[in-house]
Amino acid sequence: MRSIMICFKLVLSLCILMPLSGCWDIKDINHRAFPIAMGITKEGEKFKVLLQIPISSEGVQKQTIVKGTGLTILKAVEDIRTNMESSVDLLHIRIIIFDRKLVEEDGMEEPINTFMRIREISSKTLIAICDDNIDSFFLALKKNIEKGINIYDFFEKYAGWTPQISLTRLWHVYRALNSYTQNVAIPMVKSGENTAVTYTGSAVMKKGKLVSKMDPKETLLFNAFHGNSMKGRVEVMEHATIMIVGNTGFHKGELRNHIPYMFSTIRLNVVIQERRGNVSNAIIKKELEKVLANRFDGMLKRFQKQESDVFGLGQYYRNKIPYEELKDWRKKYYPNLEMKLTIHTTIQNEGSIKTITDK
Amino acid sequence: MDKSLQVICMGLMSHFGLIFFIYPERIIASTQKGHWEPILIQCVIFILFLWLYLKGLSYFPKQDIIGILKTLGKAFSFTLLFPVLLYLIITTIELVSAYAEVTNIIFLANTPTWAIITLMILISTYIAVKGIETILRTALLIFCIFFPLILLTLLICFQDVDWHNAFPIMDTGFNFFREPPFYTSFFSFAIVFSFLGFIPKKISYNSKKIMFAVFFLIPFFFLSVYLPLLTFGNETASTLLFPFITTLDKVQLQWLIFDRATLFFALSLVTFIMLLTSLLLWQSSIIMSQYIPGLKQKYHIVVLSVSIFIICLCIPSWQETEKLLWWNTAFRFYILIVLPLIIFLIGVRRKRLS
Repeated sequence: MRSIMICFKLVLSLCILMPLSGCWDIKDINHRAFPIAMGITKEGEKFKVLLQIPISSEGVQKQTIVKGTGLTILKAVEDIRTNMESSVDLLHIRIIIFDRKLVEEDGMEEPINTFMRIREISSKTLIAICDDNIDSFFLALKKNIEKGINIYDFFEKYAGWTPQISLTRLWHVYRALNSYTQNVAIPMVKSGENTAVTYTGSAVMKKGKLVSKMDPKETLLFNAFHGNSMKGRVEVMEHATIMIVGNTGFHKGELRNHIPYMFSTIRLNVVIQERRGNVSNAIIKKELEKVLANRFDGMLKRFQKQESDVFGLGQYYRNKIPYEELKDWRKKYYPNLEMKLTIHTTIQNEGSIKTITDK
Repeated sequence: MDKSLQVICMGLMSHFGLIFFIYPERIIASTQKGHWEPILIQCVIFILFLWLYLKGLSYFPKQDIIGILKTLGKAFSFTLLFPVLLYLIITTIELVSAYAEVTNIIFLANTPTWAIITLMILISTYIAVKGIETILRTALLIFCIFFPLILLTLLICFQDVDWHNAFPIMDTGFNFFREPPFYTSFFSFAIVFSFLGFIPKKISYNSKKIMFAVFFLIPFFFLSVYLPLLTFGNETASTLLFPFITTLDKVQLQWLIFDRATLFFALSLVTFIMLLTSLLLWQSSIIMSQYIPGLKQKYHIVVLSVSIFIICLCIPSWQETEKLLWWNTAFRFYILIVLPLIIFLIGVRRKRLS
């Protein structure tokens, strides 16, 4: 009797091993396609989705671009799925590229909400806007990836990212869609002549629609304002080229008579790398501070007119304006905001050549 | 032998399992500003009544809760225990169906819910049949494995915190008292430590140590709400179904081996919940054996889990689970407030009599 029980238990525990063999509805990795980039545009009423799928065969990297259309984005993806011989997994999408026309006309709200809702797409996915024809952009990508260049490397901090590029992820955009006091800037790219992509600046968004643009130099300041590391940036001026090696920002908001005042200080540590003519460090410093302050002012005025708070200045007033009124921050308060920006530069060193200036 | 450590591990772990899924969403839904106020109020209520409960139990060094209630007469003790039993069973149903649904939403999108429910109930029934000592020992083991992981995930969540999102910090209206989500969020407080009254007296524990452990738990309630809030801001966080999970999803670390830290976090929490479910099954089987004394305890557990399994299958959607959470509120306050009070009062009365 006892041995029968032991046998029974043994068989039972062996049965438990069975579910270990895999998950539900398993699909072999050979029968799955993992797209890494997704392009979205609109053709008439219908969404058109482009997927870039790498295929690795016998050590050679190959690419395919597949397209599908549908009334919704997921329907378009489904369209691709039906026509593909393997199942399409969106799990590994690293970058989603929106067509500029779509962003200008219909806005990104609907697609972004969809992406946040389905868990297939990671909320860390990068978002970018394509500044030229998305079909030809993807074709160019395909050529480049065969040379071993991936578009998302362009945005990775450990690879090709430079401080002129705004770095925006899916959850940033989603947050900006809902937030009362924050908007988002999305990088704009087009296919380049001798590089995979050319960065053309950042799109300034309001409620998922493109309302203004920042050029790369302005994006640099935008990044500096948020305290993103600007290391390695070279600023060309009339008299010198300098490299910014460190930056910190300090911001303080005040509300007087329903008019918001903002006091900001950005501290830059710079290294002088090139010099033209005989100029003292003081002049270089002054010039740099002036150039940056002017650039910032022009930029802010433009955004205030569009009611797009891309700097998230409203964040500094969350404790000063009653929450019920915060809803109207962009309309009522933001256009009147007065900004006092001070830029402090410290010249850390001048490289290995001594400078002797005539007094 | 002093088993405080095991008891504490069991308590903490079950609370972690309850805190990070539904709790943040409930609190964020209950108020728009000053989220610390409802959390603090809940914590104070929780600690106060836990203290009363432990104090009440300490008057009876040789009896468990059923023995204590029996001193009031059989019929009376049955009426007092019945809501507890009902709450335990409904909570088990809620836990199993909610966490099966969560698993489905978070990582097993293609797996049918019944398969997940089967797995959860099977494992917890097995542990429950083995008895309370096994449950407590397993708790210690699982706690040692998963707790560092949870601390790590909490730490990396601070990555994108913007402290301005904590504002407006004061809510003078106390409007959350009028919101149902505030009351359902007591879900994360009510159930766990009720088991202290049920464990047999050969497993001894130190009430002081348990109170200390509970204070250690308080920051986690705040973290679970404030991490999503500080990252996303109230406007966005209130649109999310699982704010904490989404916060964890967006963690961007190059050196992290896993692409998504969420998976491991969610898995460890589901493990915690399985153990809590087995504890609840064990607790309800003890009460059940008062009503039907002839049957062995393990058969009670099996009968219970089979019926719970069937009821879970009948719950079609997430919305029904949420409704169940709301219907259960009265029982929840019974087990959180009334039961400790009763035990405390009986204890005080007995002390006076002797």
